Amino acid sequence: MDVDSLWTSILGEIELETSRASFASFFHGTRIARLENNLVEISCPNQASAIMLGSRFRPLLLSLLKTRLGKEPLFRFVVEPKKISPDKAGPLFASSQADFEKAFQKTGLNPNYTLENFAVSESNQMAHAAAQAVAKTPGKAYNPLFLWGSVGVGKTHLMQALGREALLKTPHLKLIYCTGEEFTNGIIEAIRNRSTAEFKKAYRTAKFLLVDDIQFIAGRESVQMEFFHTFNSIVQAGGQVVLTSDKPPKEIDKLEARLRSRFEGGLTIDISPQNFELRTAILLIKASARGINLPIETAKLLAASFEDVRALEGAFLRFLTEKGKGEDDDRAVARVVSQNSLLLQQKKLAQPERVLEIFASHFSLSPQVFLGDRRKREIVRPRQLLMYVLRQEMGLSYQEIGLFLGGRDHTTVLHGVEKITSLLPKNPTLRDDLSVLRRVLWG
Amino acid sequence: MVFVVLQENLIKTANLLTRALPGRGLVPAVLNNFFFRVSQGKINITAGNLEATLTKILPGKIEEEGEVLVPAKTLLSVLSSLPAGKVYFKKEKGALVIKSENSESQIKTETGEEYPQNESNEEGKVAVDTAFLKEAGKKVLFSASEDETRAALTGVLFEREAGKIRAVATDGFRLSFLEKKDKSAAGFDKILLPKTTLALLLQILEEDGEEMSVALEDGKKRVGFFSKTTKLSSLLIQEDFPDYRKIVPQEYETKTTVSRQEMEEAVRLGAVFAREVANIVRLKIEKNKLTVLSNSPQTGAVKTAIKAETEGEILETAFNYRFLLEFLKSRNEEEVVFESGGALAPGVFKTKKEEGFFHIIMPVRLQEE
Repeated sequence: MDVDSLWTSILGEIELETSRASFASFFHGTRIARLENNLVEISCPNQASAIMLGSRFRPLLLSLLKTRLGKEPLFRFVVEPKKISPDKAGPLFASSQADFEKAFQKTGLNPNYTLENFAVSESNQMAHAAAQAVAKTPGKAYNPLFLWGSVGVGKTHLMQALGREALLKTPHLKLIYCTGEEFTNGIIEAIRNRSTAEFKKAYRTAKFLLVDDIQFIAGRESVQMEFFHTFNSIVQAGGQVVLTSDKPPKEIDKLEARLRSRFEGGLTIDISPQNFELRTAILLIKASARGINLPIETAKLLAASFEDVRALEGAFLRFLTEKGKGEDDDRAVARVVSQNSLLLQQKKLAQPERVLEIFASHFSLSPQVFLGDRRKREIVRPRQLLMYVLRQEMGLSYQEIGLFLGGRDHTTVLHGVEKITSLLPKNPTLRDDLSVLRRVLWG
Repeated sequence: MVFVVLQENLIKTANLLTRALPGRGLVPAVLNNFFFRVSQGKINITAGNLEATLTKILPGKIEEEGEVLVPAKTLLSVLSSLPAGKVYFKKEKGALVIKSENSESQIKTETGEEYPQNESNEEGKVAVDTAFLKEAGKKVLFSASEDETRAALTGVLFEREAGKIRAVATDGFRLSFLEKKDKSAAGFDKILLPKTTLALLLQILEEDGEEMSVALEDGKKRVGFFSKTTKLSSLLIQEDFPDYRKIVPQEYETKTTVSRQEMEEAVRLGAVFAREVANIVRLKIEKNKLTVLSNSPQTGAVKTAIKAETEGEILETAFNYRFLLEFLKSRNEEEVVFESGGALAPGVFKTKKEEGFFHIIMPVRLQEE
């Protein structure tokens, strides 16, 4: 029996025992917040009702719960404060919500990128903290805020969430978000159409400028000059500039010295690729955003097999498709893992022999051992991992892998791949091995 | 329990305590009593509701310690009918005996339910800036909401940040904001105090005029105010106060300064004809004058023009006269300033030359005529 029906049935009995007025005023807005082991937490809309319920109804509730749960539980009341949504707080606040929505739409920011759904871990917590500080007091903390990192680490998410946060605080803020490419195209168009004055006005009067992938402007002299003046205008007027890039300022080729020094003059933070735990958290967040209840173990299985967050998202979607066909979680994951088609194209070109050599060197075993019969754990694991990589990353069929590995049966290979898939979430050493091997193999 | 007090002192204290009794609504019956506890050389009387509890110490002569619960209304009626002078109290089985010069009453007392005890330990208490509290009471408190269904709006927010202390209250239609230099020592950084508790506290400050300290209790769920003869303990509102910073207009297009009294009189007059039309009065702001207009089909119409010093654009806007009046009445300065970003933008009201205060009122949308 789920907690809501349990509470409804309890309330039903209580209603019989109390007057209508009492019942309505005491129990309105109550529900069971938690029911775990032998602890029951009953949530009340405010402190006063918690006190009232406690003083008047404790014995009755205790006996009703005992009848239903089979034993007397430990129970207590908690108060769950509600956040008043802005449009219900009154016209003063509703109009500011409307202002925010209007302003937000104009910026072109993606509403799905918020600070709340940005998963934080050591690899990005400094960047996250800096983003929060800048959103809170634009123009006063760091200028510019320069976030860099490789593809897929979350730069755009963090940058757009930052912009959204700043706008939430000040709906009338003049905020511009664009990519380096859009800025470049914009200035080129403006020169062509002789509308440079408007272009300059639009950008230089911004109070908050966010440019994604600023490295795009490198190598283009007039664009860099325009950006230099834009940057100075904004900062001198007390505005805030936030930039993202795939490299730190000193490594961006063909970047003018004075821009480089401007960029380095603020706070430069790198965002590292997400580790296993973070990928798991990200997957759970994405699942819950779609209203899907993804069990943690399944999330871990997927996250362990896919290091690239975009590939992970794709895998998640394929997983949902498999689930839609009626598969159970583990089967669905296994299928998705072995179908990792995104990378298959490039990797088909690699030779299994080369992969074997690299594995051998990594594990300090001779290649013969992989093909041989020995069953010791220290040999079986690497062999199974090899099967996993040959299958998952190179898309070889089970039979082909079996043949390559000394004439093994395809079911042995299947078992090996499944074994690794299920071990990865639980075994950090194994994950690290895989990570290193992947880097050696495909760079 | 036996003690003697002066009627004048007791009636004053009892009247104050009455304000802490529960109002309407269903409450445990025990709260309809005054709780007397005579111990450790002090006569303590407590009254409280589900939210706040007030204990006062009364001067008097103690002959025997003890405790008793007395129905508050009955006691108050008896006390107010007694003459000034000594009153003698004695607890007997099932009743409280009250003897004055000529009369002897016996009020039946209840037994059974225990009076809820909440021990405040006064730990970490710091002095209260009573001047700021009083100012907040005058300039901010009236903007809080009476609507129990949105609990966060029924409180006054006290916030301390960067050497400043702020009091903010709003009911969603108007908002008052007061900020001054923080003269208190460390303590809380943000509490949401129920409106009724603040009102009670102000009453206490008014009557006793003593120094007060404050301490947070029970993991920031309660607050305690202490003075030599008083202890006021109250729940704090746990809901989040809306983010008021977002709605404060940063710019204005029209700014006008007028005499506060003239404006108040004009709005009062406008009110006569506004009651029928959802309390709407219109303001027309021009270079040198401000006109207050209202009209209703049944009652009639009125137009009052007062002198004004205006900067910026001409403006026509409308407000609920009650909100205008409440603000105007709450102050007695000579001149008030009104800033607006447009007919539908929140209007900002201040008094001339005052720093750290503003009052915002949401205008009413006018039907196109």
